[in-house]
Amino acid sequence: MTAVFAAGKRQEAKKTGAKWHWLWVIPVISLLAVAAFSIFRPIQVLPRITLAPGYSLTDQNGEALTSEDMRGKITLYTFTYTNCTEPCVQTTGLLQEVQARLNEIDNGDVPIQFVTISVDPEHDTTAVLTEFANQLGADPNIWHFVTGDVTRLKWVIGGGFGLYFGQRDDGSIILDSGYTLVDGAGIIRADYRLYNPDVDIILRDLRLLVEESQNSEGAARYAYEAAHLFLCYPR
Amino acid sequence: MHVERSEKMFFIASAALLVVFALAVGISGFVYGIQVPQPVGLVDPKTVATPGADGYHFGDPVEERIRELAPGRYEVYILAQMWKFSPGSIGYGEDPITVPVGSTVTFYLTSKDVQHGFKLQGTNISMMVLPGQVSKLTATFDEPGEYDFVCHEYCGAAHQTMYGRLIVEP
Amino acid sequence: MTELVDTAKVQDDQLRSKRAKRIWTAVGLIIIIILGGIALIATGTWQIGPPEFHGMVIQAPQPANNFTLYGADDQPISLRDFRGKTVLLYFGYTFCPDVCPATMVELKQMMADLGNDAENVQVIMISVDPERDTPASLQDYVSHFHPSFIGLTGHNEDEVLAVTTPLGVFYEKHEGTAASGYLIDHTATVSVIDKEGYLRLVYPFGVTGSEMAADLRYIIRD
Repeated sequence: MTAVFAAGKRQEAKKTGAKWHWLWVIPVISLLAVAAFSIFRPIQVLPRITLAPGYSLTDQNGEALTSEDMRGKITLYTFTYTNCTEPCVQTTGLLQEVQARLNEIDNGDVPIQFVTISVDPEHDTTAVLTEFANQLGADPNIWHFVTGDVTRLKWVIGGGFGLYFGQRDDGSIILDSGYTLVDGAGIIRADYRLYNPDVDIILRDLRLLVEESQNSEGAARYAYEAAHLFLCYPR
Repeated sequence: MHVERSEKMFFIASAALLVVFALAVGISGFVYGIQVPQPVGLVDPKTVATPGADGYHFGDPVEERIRELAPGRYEVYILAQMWKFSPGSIGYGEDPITVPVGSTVTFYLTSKDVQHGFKLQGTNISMMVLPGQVSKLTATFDEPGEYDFVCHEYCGAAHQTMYGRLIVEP
Repeated sequence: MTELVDTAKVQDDQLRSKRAKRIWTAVGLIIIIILGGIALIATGTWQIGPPEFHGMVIQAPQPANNFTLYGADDQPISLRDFRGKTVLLYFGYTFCPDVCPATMVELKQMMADLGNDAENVQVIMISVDPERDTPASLQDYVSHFHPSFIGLTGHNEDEVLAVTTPLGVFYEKHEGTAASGYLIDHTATVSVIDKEGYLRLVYPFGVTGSEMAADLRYIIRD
């Protein structure tokens, strides 16, 4: 397109006998366009942080839930144990709020899922998790509660999501607060290490991921790759 | 305006260089998928040293800032301030950071005051440590020995005393 | 210049403007060619650099975690030993009824397609069934597909989990028929680690050997 435009201009220039000085406009405009793209960021993306871990855990219905089941779905992971007051109640409380406001996102055919992993398999049996899910009013189609044996959990949560959990000498559980957003390709895209992140920010990030996966083909893909290249991350 | 011909050539050459480099960035990004690392999180430098601030652990007791995530996987929260790293500042009487050989260690760093640097000798870890921003890098230690880390961004009068040690035990 | 007579100055000016014209024409043409090239690359008419890969490209590649597992004769083998070669990791088990042999056949086809480049590629199959797969039986199994293939297994689940989890691979035992014993569900992806130890590509199940060979020809030269 640019080439056609230039050719037209060239003919015009020949007619009027003008010099070629206007040509410097092209590199300057392209540089300005790049600068404007990275400053005004018309397209925003979330960084690709690292591969999400592979796992196979048991959900509240006693069925296996694996990382493959989440492929093609945008998944928000949280970590908790039901037998706790602070601050894990907040992680599920916040998810309740996100669930209530999910209708604000026009996600089309891109499913959004929540997976809450319990780090206390001894206490959190399927029955306890079912009860917990009901208490929270969790929609069983989008919100899964899973757990598994501690060795596997250590690898998935500690090794994969990079979130520490452990046991104090008195048997009580230590768990870092964390929310992790994983895209449909199984790549971690956002990591909220806050006790109380802003629901608006989580919804915004979910929306960004939905938009990116809806625009993952053709010319739009290049625009999104450009956004990755120029680090057009939301602030 | 009259411009000397040789000067004009340089104008053109430098403009061309700009274009070439801009294109190189584009090509490396699109074609080869090269990306640069980015900060992982933001913290408030005023409150970062209080326990549990913002989900990071720069405020926890020094000995609790090294934690085993999974077998052989560790995370270390190092708080940089004028003029020490904590934990690990052997010059200030702190114990060195100790991990077993073969460990993969993720370093989280932030600064309480001014801009610092963090360079871990013998690894490819080298990063800027800025107040309000958490930097994160991971290294695997396959050789036992002593690894020193230094602040390599000038940070004031006692900058040269800002160093620490990591010991990889066999 | 001011000392020159008028006619000489005019001639000089004409000459200079002609030269300037030529320079600008050249600069303009170069820019047009470059922009045209970008347009061609962007629309995919022109193919420079890597081909469109057939697997999931890991953007901002990170070094793959090193691991040490056990090969035939139970000798320890680390991922790091293969620096300089492009490593393809596949997770499976020898009792696997369908997916694993299918993938191994594709990998065999890939080695054939690569021709001389095959010596720069190392295929490693890691057993997710350390209970039944001994190092010897596993090596037997993979050698059956290609003599250069290596089979590795852990002594316990911990050692295998340490390798699979960070690569986004899961595995889960479940009961099969009485004749086959238990089966293992597992992620059937092939992970490509380049000669510098960076995870570059992940192939989903169903990518053919020729497609992998096409991508690898680029990656081994990278």
